[in-house]
This record gives sequence, C-alpha cells and structure tokens, in this order.
Amino acid sequence: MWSVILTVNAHHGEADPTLLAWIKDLLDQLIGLGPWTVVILIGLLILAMPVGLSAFYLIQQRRALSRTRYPSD
Amino acid sequence: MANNIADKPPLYFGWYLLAAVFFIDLVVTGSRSSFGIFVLPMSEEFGWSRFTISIAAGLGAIVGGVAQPFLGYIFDRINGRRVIVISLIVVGLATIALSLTFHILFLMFMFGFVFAIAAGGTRLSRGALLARWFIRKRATVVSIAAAGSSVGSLLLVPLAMYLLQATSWRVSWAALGLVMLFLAVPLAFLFIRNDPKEMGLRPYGDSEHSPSENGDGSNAVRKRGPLEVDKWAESFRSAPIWQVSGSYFVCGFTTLIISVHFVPYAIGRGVSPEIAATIFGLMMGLNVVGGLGAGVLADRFGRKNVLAGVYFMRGCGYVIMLLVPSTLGLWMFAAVVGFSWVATSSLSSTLTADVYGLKALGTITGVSFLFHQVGGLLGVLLGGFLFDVTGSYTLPFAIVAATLFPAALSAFTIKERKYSALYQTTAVPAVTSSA
Repeated sequence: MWSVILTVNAHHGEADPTLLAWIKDLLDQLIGLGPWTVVILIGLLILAMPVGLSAFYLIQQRRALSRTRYPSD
Repeated sequence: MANNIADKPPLYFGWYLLAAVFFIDLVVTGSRSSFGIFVLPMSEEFGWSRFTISIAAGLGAIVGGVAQPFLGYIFDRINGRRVIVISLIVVGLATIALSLTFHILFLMFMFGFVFAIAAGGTRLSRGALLARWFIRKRATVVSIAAAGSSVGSLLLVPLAMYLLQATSWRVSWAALGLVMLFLAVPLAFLFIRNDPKEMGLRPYGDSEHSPSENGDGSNAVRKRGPLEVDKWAESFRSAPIWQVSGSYFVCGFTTLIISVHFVPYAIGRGVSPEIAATIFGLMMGLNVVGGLGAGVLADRFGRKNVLAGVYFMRGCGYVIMLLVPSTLGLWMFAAVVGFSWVATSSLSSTLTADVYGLKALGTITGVSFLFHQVGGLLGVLLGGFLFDVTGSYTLPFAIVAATLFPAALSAFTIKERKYSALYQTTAVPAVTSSA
C-alpha cells in the first residue's frame, strides 16, 4: 500500500510511471515518428513561446519609442 | 490605416507578465510531472525498488505543501519578484543536478526538498503576483496562468519521454533543467515585476473606478472589502477562508486519489492500457478547457458560484463512474471530471484575493494549499487502505463522491457579495503594499 501512497500525483504532483508507459505506447502508435523528430518538434514549439513573446515586446517598445519621437499630429 | 496602428496604445504590461507566468508554470510543472518517466530507468540502473524511488515524489508533495505558507510569507513581506526569480533558478539547477544522481538520498534531497520548495516559490507567481496586476478579469487571468501547468504536462512529459528514448535519463534531466535556465529565467528577469507601480502603472481594471491625480497610481483609491487583512492569521478568524480552504482540502482529497489509483482501478474494470491511457489523456486535455472556461465564467457569474459548480460537477462525475458499468462509466467520468481538474486552484486563489486583499495573499493561499496537500495525502491513504480491506475501490470512491457535495455547498454559501472587494460600492484610499 505504501508504494501506492508515495506515487503521489494529480494537479500538483508527478504522474504514475505505469500510466506514462501506456501513454508513451499510445503516442508511438498515433504519431509514428522517430524520437528525435518528436523532440525537435516539441522543442521548437517550446522555444517559440519565449522568443515570440520577447520579440513582440521589443516591437511594441520600438513602436512606442517612435511614437514619442515622431508624434502623428 | 498605418496611423491607426501607430496610434494604438501599447499593450498593458500585465499581459506580458501573464505570458511569462504561463511559461514558467509550463516548464516547472511539466518537469515535475515528468518524474514518473524517470522512475523505471533510474531504478533499473541503481537497483532501487519503486517504493524507494517513490519516496522522493511523495516527500516532494508533502514538503512542497508545508513550505508554501513560509514562501508565501517571504513573498508578502520581502520581495515577490526576487522570490520567484531565485526559486526558478534553483528549480533549474536542481533539475540539472538530478542528472548527477548517484544515491537515493541525493535524489530524495534534490527532488523531495530542493526542487519541491523552489517549485513552490514559482507557484506564487500564478495567484499572488497576478492578483496584484489584475482586478478586472482576475479569475480569467489566473486561470490562463494555471492552464500553463496543464499545457506543461502535455508538452514536457512527451518531450522527456522521447528524449529518454533517444538519449539517457541523465541527459533528459539536464535538458529539462537547461530549458528552465535558458528560456524561463530570462523571461522572468524581463517580465516578472512585483507591482504595477514599479512600471508607473495601475492594476488592470483599477482605472475604471479609481482615477489617480498624477496617473502613476500613487493617489489611487480603490474598493476595499470589509475582511481585508494585513496579517494572514487575521483571515482565519472569519468564515470565508475556512469555507475556501475546507473545500480546497476536499479538492486534494478527490484528485490525488484518482491519479494514484486510476491505473489499478482501470485494470480492475478490465480496461486495456491503450484505452486507459486515452481516457486519462482526454481528462488532462479537458482540464485545460475546463480551467480556462471556469475563469471566464467566474468573472461573469461570481467566483463562489462557479467554484461550487465545479465541486458539484466533480461529485457527479464520481457518481457516474460508480453507477455506469464498464468502460462507458470511465469515459463519462473523464469528460465530466476533466473540466473540473484544475479549475479549483485558480478560483480559490482569486476569491481569496478578492475577499482578503493582497497584503498577506501569498501566505493565506499558501496555508490553503497546505490544506489541499493534506487532503490529497489522506485521500490516497484512504483509497489504498479501503482497497486492501474491501478488495474494491467502490467504497473509497463513494466516500470521495460524498465529500464533494458538502464542498460545493461550502463554496456556494460564501458571502461573496458581502465580503469581496469587487462588490463594494465605496472606495477607500489605496494602502501601499509592503512588498
């Protein structure tokens, strides 16, 4: 029983290894790509978030700066 | 057209902060959720039993719960930004250090203490920090941030799975740590700010009813609830925090049990691993939708009503699972409960912020979180104990279902209109936050 107690999970914890192994098998069937391909795809997706956010912020800042330098009216 | 674009006011900085919090939650929760993937390869290499390695995970949940009020206190009293950024750096370093694991005590210390405590520090960004930045749409914003944890599990767990397949567990731990240090930490440095005042701004939605003379928020007036507190202990002398924390205890009691006991329960009902994995995946996917939807609804219909609805819905899910036989019951359970899985966290912290204000919010939500973790541990214990005694999950799940309806009632009877700052009609001069 204690082994079950200590594999604590839920929305503030870690997932059950057996369940994760099942999910992995299911993903293999569904995706059918090599491990490196999946790693690169997910990696790019994760990378795009902070890079995209920072780029958007910088564009907005530059726009705000040009507005103060060259007001439209 | 070009002029129209140029004349548009700049995007409120709080939205950047929200995106950063979302990403921090994504990588931290995603990395922690990946722990289960490393159990098998690490136990094979070192000859540890699953029980031994699981202690680290269990320890992490308990230590994280106990540490949360203290982290919240530091957040409230010293410097929120510093707590979040330092915690994030420590989480990243601890994750990399896990790749150097050589002894079970090292794993327990690094994951069960260092990672767990530091991850608690980053969790403060979701509730306590965002509440300082947003008054209007507060529930929606906190829900969006909370969705980061769900998305993190959906992205980082598969990433770690395939990285493990392609490399080794050591490389995979190191890669997760590097993602935090090189992507999340710079983002935190750039966008995490203690307070809108630091940027010469006011909280989002504040300007609608509290004009400031000089525009920097220094003379702003704001609505203040009758229960707003300066010290966290004062909040526990009133009913709403007991109602919120009591129902949050039930939240932990009813979620951890299903995560830990889902696999044996599914096997017991004759479900194949593929179907069980799909059902669990559906539940996790729906919790993103449910969490976001609950936030939007809470801003429209009141926090306590939606919170009560979420607990009621989860209770119905358990009843359906017990009453509807075969796999259909599990599918229906996943569909109903999936919506309620993470919604409670954001709704509880938003309601707490509305009623008790921001000064001690980190500590108060930390204590509430401790209730949740204790409930979770008791739920898991009860599930295991009653299964051993009765040979079935029917009784523990029936007890779990039965606790959810009083929790719904507890949330529903919170006098939100009386105590929440949102419903106050008179404004008082804003008190400067000590953090």
